Amino acid sequence: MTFREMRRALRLALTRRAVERDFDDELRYHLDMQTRQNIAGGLTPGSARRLAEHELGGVDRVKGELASVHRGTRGTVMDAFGTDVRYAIRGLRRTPWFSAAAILTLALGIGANATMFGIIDRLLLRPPAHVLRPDEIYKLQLVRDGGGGEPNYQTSQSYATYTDVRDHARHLTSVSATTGAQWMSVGRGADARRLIANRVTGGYFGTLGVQPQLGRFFAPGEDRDGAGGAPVVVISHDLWQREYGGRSNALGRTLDIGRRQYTIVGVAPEGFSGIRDTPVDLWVLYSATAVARGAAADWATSHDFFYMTVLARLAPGATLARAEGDATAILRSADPDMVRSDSTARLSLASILPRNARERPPEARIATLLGGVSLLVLLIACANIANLLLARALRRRREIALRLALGVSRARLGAQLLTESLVLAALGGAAAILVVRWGGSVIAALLLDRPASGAGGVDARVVAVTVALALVTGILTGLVPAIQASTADLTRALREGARDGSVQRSRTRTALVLVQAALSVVLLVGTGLFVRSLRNINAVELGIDTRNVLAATMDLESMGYTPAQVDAVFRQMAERFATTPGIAHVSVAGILPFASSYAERIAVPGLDPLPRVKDGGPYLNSVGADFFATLGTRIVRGRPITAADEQRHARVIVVNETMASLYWPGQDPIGRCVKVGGRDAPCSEVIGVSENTHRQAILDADQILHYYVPLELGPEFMKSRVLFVRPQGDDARQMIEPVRRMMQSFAPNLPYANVRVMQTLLGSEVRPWQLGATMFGIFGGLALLLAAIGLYSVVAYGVTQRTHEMGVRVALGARANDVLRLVVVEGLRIVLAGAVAGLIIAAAAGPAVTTLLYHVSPRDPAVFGIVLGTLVLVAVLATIIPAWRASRVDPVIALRAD
Amino acid sequence: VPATPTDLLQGTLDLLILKVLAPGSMHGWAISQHINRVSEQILRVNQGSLYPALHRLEGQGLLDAEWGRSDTERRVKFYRLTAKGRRRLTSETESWLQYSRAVHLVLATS
Repeated sequence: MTFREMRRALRLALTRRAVERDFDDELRYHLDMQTRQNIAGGLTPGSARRLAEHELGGVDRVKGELASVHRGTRGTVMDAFGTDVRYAIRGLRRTPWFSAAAILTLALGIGANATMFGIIDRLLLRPPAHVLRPDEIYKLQLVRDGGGGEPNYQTSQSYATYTDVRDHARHLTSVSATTGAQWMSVGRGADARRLIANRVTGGYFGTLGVQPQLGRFFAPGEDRDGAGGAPVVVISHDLWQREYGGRSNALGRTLDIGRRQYTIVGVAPEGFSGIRDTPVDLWVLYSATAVARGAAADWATSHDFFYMTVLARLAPGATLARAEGDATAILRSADPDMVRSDSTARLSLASILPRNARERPPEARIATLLGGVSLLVLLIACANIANLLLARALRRRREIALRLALGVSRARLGAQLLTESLVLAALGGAAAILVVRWGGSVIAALLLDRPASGAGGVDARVVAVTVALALVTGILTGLVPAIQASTADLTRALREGARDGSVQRSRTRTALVLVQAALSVVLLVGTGLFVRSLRNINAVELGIDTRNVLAATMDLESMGYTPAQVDAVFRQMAERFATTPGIAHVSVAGILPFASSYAERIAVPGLDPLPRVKDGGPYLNSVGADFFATLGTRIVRGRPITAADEQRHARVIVVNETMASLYWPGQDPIGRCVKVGGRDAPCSEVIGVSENTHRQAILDADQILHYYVPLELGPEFMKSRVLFVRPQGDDARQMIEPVRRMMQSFAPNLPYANVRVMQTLLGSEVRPWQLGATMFGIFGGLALLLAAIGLYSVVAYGVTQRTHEMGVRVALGARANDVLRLVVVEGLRIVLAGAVAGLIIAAAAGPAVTTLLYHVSPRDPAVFGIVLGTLVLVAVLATIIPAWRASRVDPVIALRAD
Repeated sequence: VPATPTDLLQGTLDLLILKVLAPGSMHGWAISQHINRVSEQILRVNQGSLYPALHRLEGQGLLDAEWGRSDTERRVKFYRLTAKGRRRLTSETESWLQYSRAVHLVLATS
């Protein structure tokens, strides 16, 4: 800064008042002199003054102009910034490849983070849309002894608990209840479709404080507890647009649900989905649909079935503790059985906001983990850009030294380099928005079961985060080159020219590559662990060939079909499919494995009491002919249940291996007697032993007791039917639509036929691993690529700097191979150091993700080994080109240069 | 001699100020008087634009200013050329003369 600049800066710093006094003094002097001249010209003092003022053109106007001139000078900081930006853009355009690589890197790094933020925001941070003061809404939790003194929290309550609390709680107000969102068949025949329905009580919308977009919500008197509710329905804004084009005459139209027609009375506001993020198409009264959907006759008064989430707000002046005490007292007086079985049972209140939840849902935990991972990727990207910028700065050393010599201040020069990285980051951020738009929907689809419309999209909050990230990235990446430039040794730089990068700087660059290598190793280890977990979980023997079997259901019960009619329809459908080409096996059963399972009391002569296992049971399914072949469950002994058994109404039973070995250890179970239904039931003869199958999930109990009886011998409560179809070939997915169409057209006015590959029943269980493997894979690959680019640039740069040295070596008799080895080994040294650091970090951080892995140690030696090998391979690939170039150095040319 | 004084062309005022200040430092009032005098009152300096011009030139680093005392012992601001201002004066004079020669040439031939 020159002396004059400093003085100006000082002057600018003067208070406004002093500056104004200066203006005044200067102008008043002028006016006085002019007035005096005018008086000398013969005017009276008064008119002389006025003329002077007139000639000056108004004192205030001139002062205003002066002030604006000074504001202009103060604007030089902005002017300089503008110049720097233009300069930076010119520089970036001169090196399009560098710029493109840098912008792409930043776009991916920033984009990954903004995407993950969008998802975490949705899962954890953002309150539910349209809900009034959501932090004041609570859901009831039934707290019971979960064994070993650990409390077990249960969010589902009985309908009776809802009415008890609604009618008697003095410290809670606006009590309502809702079931989870579920698929529901709407319309009939060709018009049949499945929509996501939420069954709620009349006060649900009131509790949430939401206002309708159109029409009204449920009116008082429409919800009548056990007496049955009115057939009215509120539809979502989305369904309103989709099926009614957003027209107001949608009100009053009807939807066929079960046997009844439901009248549309209102439309919910856009984006409203209740207290959860999963979308909902329509809301109906629970009391209107209960009986039709198979609830027991005493559903409104029984304390035995838990399926309602009860919501409430605190009454004015109430505290959380008093409200909980109040609710618990109500539970105890209304449900003495509960108290008898568990004296510690109580009701507590939990916030509905996910961020306040005691235990976060798995998708939120995975999203948070991936958010951390994406930050790592951004760090790697930053290191890479800093590295590239540094390399550029080194190439421009002469230019920079020259400008320093010409009097450009170091601060200005640093600011200029920082501007360059900020411009890069801004462009990267803009490109990142594209990444978010594309990647957001992909990740949302992977992570969320039924992503809400707009999930993973670009909104104001995501844009704000992107801008902030771009700013931080710009500063981070620009800092190192800027500091180095502003501390450059001027004379040495000018003397040395572009050759011989100083050792100091190449050390910084080496360190950056090392950090990159370390971070990529961490990510790659994560990838390996998740891939192995996924492979392990996919390799679990379920005893059911879930990938090749279609399970088809149809809600005939809600249409008023009797159990006998339902059975008949399914048997006829099975007969039709049995003769359809392309289908290998077909069967009917009472229970869909993985969706539900039931136990029934049994007795075995000579075994009292029956041996038990931790999982409970024994569980059963009632199955038609060809069931085992259709599902791919092997019969290990004896024979399966056949059509012949059905024809002669044989009392036969197939037990699984665990049951056989537990009840009749070391003996032949065939021919034994099992009394299904209890001691007084008739004997069923054991005709076969099946392999063990999973009951509920991939991660299931070790020991499961399970048996199978013919369809007609199933207990009364197993009155619904499931159709299983095993197509020929190995692409069951392809047959979903044909099977669905055939079922749908089997009779007129049927409800929606729901056909899916059995594997999809397990989809949500596999999803965390699938997602972890996919995302870690993408991020890890990205990190590896970035590290490879960084290494390549460092080694390539080093080679060009050392052309002279290589020339000397070759001249002194070094062979091409020696030079090649020299360069490659040097690159490998950097990478190996980074890799070891990374493996140490991974080993230290491993235990934190143990709960997210399946049958893999977080320090799995195979994974660590493969990662190390991959990194070495990539390092060799990244160094081989510059190394080859170094080995081709012609000593004559190299030594003459400079 | 025209009956009414001519208003200054845009940008000419800056050049005149630089020229007037070439010999030494002067305050604003003196500058306006000096321009009037040497231009034989053909060119009339709009006093309202004189001070903004001075401050602008100062801001551009062409002029330097400091406060001093007038003959009448009043606090006045004196302006003088900086080295940069002197260079600017040379180059601007050059181009102005070139410009006026060209205009003269055109006017004389037609």
